[in-house]
Amino acid sequence: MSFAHVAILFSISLGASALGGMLGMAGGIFVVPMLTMFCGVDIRQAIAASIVSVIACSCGSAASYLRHRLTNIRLAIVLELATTFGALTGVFLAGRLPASFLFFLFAVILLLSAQQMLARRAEPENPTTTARTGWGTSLRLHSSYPAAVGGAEIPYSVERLPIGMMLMYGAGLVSALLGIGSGVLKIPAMDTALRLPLKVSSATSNFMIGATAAASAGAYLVRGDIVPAIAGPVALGSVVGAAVGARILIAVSSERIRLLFVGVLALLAIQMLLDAFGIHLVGGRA
Amino acid sequence: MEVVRDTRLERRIAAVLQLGSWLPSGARIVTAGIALFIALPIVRVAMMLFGFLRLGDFRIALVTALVLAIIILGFVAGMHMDVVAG
Repeated sequence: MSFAHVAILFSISLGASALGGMLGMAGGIFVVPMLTMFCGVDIRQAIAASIVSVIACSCGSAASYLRHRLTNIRLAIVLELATTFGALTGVFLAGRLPASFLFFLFAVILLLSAQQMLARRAEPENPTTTARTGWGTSLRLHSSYPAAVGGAEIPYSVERLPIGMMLMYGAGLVSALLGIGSGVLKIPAMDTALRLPLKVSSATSNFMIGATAAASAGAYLVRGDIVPAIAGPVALGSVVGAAVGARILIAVSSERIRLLFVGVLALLAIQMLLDAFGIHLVGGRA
Repeated sequence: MEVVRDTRLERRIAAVLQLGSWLPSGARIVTAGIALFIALPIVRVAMMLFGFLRLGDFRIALVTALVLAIIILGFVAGMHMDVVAG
């Protein structure tokens, strides 16, 4: 592995992760397509390298959310039961699925992200006053978070945990299969099933990424799928890129830039779809 | 003829050289770094397990123990599978 190759992997990952960070999403969704497209990295190696960088990036932001007391760690560990189990399923499936299917699934996830970016998230109505029964109560998951202004505690309840768990299982599965944090799948679970306040769901889903990814990354590491010469520069580049992206985040609130990124996601999806059917337009395959 | 062999010194030098040849090997450092990244969330789950046990919250502690078990199962599963990438 030449120095130039390492430098290219580093810069591509930096750019991909910064792009993701600017949009407030994990960089993994850009890292894998860019590695396969522009660096000719094998998709399985790209996924294994990406899952490591996903852990590295999420740990940094998770710390910040925890300090702001937005993370519900009790709820996180309960949902992690589903995500880690899903990740384990993903590890078993990954070896049996053809690379073309992984490209196809990635395209679907990219399109889903584009659709989510188009439709703005609305604050779900949290029925804190309803009779508290069910899993949320017996596991004592209901909590509160500090208001942005004034710092008063706003209570919220955790609703419909079983449906949330099912969606989280899917999120863990996709995370392991594609090497992404799969916030794309966690957000609908948090919003429509559990009905958490937006800030709480962002913080809690971010907190869960690490443990979920560790379940699959551990297996990939032991199995030898994680190639240090690729995963090293990719992880470093992603961490730097995430830090850069977080700084630019404020600038990307305008409608026009949001639409631009929807376009980028759609283009990546099309390229991944073409790859799934064996057509390569950009770059060469090593 | 007097034969001098500083066995202990030789062994120490060998150990240092061995260590030295280890350190600059980039791939090994990178692998260690990657392993450290993966270890971080596992340490976090373990911390939560001890924290919940100390609070006497055994229901959530059981859930935490199960999550830890699933992650460890991932490592075990990886050992029994063939390399796919490449």
